[in-house]
Amino acid sequence: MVNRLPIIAGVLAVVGFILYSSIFVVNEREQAIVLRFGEIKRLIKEPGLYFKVPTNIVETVQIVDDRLLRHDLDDITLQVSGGKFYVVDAFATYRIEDLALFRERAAGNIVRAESLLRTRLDDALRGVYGRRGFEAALSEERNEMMREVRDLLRPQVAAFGLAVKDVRVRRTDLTPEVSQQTFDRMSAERLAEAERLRARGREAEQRIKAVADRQAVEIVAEARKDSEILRGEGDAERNRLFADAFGRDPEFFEFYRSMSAYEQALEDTGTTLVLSPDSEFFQYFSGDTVLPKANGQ
Amino acid sequence: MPWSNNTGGGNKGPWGNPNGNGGGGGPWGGGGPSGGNQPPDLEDILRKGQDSIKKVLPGGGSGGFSNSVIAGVVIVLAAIFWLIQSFYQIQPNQLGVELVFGKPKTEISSPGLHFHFWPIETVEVAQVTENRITIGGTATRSGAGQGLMLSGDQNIVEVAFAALWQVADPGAFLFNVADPEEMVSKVAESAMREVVGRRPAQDIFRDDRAGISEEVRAITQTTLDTYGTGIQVNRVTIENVAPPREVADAFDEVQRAEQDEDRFVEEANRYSNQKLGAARGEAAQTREAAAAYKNRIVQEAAGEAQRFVSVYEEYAKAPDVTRKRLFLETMERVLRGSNKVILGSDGGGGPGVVPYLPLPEIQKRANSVAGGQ
Repeated sequence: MVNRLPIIAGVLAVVGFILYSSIFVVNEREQAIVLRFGEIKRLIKEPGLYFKVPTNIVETVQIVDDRLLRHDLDDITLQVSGGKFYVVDAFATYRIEDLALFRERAAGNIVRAESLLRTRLDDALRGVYGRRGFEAALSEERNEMMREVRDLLRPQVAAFGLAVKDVRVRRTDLTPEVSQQTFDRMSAERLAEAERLRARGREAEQRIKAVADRQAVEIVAEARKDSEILRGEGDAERNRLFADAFGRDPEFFEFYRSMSAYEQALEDTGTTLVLSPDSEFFQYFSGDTVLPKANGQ
Repeated sequence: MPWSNNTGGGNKGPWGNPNGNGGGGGPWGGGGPSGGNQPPDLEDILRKGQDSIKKVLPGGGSGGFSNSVIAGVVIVLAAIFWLIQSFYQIQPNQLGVELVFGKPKTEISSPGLHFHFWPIETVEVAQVTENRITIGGTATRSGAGQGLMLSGDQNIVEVAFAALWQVADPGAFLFNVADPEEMVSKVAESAMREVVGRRPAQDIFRDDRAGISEEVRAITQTTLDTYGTGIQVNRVTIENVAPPREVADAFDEVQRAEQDEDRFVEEANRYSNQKLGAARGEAAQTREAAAAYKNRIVQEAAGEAQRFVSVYEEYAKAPDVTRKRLFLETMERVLRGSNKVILGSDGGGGPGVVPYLPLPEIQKRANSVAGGQ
């Protein structure tokens, strides 16, 4: 009884090993190739529990990724038509679609498959960019170009079992030398813009000042005009008032005004007057005119 | 016998520990505060374990009894291990997907305690918290211009932005795509560069950041959907858009120029206000002066006219006398303050006096009079 225990255990172990080596689980992330003596026997695309001939002597299982994979292609310098250069980063997303082809052409090795993909992606990108001008790569055509690269790539990589889902250009940059020129140009543009703004400011300044000067002159002139009109009105009113008053007796006005004028002109000026005793003022001065009259009275 | 013994011991060693924790809690809990001498305690426990096994083995007497006890212990321990493996928890920030032989079930395990038949069923857990990927930040300057992008008018702009994303479909997220996080980053960067590449630099600097964000988000989302990543891009936020360092000075210069422009205009406005104010003042003064003149002259004239009218009215009553009186009064006033020379014109003195006017003398006297006054 004591001796039987190891035997039972050994049998159990062998049975366990046979079972273990005859079943395999394919995950949702995976797909599998079953090879019998190197010949592709089964291709498993669905996840689940599968059986095979026990041990790896007859049948081997190769697990292959079934997810969407991405391959990055960074920093490739490529020439567009017209001779300019871009530095481009791109990536392709792909799935391992045809397991048989993948095993046959790429040895079922993802690294090898990626190196094959890489050369073709590089090639397709160069081809597509080479046919476009410098501007196109930045424009709406970018999507078109990505599609074109993808369509170029698809049949080529299908040959080793890959299905390209998408190709996207991540970065489209200028080469470092051109970048410097671009920086210089941007600087120059900005400085020109700065000067344009300043000039516009000065222009506005001058215009505003000139307008102000003109308006100032206009305001003053208008005021002068109004002033003259007012003064004229005043003068006219004065004339009318005088005419009304003096028109009553022009002869008396003449006399009255003369008197006023003599007074204004001659009073207290120390003027030397040479008078004739014959004048009306001295009418009674010599006496002969007065006496007879007095006598007569 | 040695084999089963080994297995028993081996099984008990690692599994007995968590299980034995309940029983061993006494010595452990007491050992901690009492002295803290752990190595002797451990040895003690090991020795006790060995003792108990030895006690069971020889103490049982017959081998059959001991074997069944070991088998029972193994089975119980295996059952406990299986139960521990079969129950699993999902945290509030997680969602789980159960797989039967690697094939995912359609239902999603929500947060809480769940049971599955391990190892036939396994569970995969996805974090559903919102994640943030920053691309082209200024902090990662060392990344040789990761944020430098070429705009539509072939200018270079530096854009730093972040994508906020979360897992919308755990099944797709877990199983469809290799390295989904990195995929979000690459796709978002590609989308941003695409959008920036379509626009002139000034657009990107000045306005429409919200528009750009939304466009990038939409492109990223669409692309990720076609890849079947099960990821939802909640937001793309543009954190900074700046000219590259190399041209920052020139851009600042534009800002300064804008300030200068405003300053020039304001200075001109100042001048204008000064000038116009002065002009309006002057105009008002001129007008008022004219109004004053008009009023003064009219009033004076009215007065003077009235004065004349008054005088005339009196004159009209006795014209001759008044006339004479006015004449004499005037002459009186005029001649009072004047030098007077009265020459008889033809008093009978033959040739009479030659009227000689000493003009300089008169002038001098006039000056002295003027000076005296």
